[in-house]
Amino acid sequence: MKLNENYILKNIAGTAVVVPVGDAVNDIKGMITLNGPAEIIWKGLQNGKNIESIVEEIKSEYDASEDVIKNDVDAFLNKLRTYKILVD
Amino acid sequence: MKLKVADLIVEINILGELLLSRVQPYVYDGEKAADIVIEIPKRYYENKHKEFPHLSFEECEYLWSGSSFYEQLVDFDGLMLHSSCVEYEGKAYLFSARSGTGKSTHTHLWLEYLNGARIINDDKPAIRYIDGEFYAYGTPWSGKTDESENVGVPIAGIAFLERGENSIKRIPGILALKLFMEQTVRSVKKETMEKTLDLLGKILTEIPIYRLTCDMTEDAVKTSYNGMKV
Repeated sequence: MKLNENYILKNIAGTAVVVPVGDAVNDIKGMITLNGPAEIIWKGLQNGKNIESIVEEIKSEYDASEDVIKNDVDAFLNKLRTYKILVD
Repeated sequence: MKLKVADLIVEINILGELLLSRVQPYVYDGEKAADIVIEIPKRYYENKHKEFPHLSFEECEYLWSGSSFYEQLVDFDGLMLHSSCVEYEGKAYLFSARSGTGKSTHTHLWLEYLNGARIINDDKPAIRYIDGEFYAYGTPWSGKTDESENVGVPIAGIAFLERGENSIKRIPGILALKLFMEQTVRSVKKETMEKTLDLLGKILTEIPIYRLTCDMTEDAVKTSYNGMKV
């Protein structure tokens, strides 16, 4: 699992946003706003973490069952794949 | 020739009369070395003219030399905001919107109703962060008109303008970011965009950002001035 390098993650005025550069400007118009768990997933991917440890990290910060978190992480990763943000 | 724009020394090669006339108030004959170099071959402008035949060669030179300036500005803690910028009582007020919304109309109402107000740049002011404060600058690149002053003025606030009943309110940073990104230079280069985003983050925390809806009456000026004055 690797993030497409043509995306910048920044915290701007208290919000995590992802902005496309290079060829990615053709895939995503504008920008993406990340909520807390999505930011944890993005940073986890940046640091080469596996899904288990990302789920673990979310679990330590949010009050939800492991199954729910796993499902949400999977759904988010699939969405990233759809937009070619996550490559293999 | 050398110019001084937004307190930066700019080395530029000029081919046509339009650009030459617009840079006159900015000509610099000092000894300082150039911060920004705009050296674009004639062929580049000729190709733009072919691509956009409704623009003359001179207009192409004017527009794309400006783009080059604003792209390089980020290396000096600066960026362009597509807006009309008016100065009143020593403070700069920027009104941004898509073309045709009436940002220039609004700042010209300020000139009409607020004695001593003047336009700093009617279309593309440069914003720079210098010694802990944000300034708006006039530049030679000010859109259809040459309404621009070669000065830098501390910024009081930025409003994104829509037509409607007169009202103004502060907007949260993340919404402001979306509006800002639509009206500034978005680089496809990663390093440049990183710098732009860092600067935008600083702007959104330090400068109050508003959404203004207004008509074309004196009341519109009262609404924006009273809402934004510091």
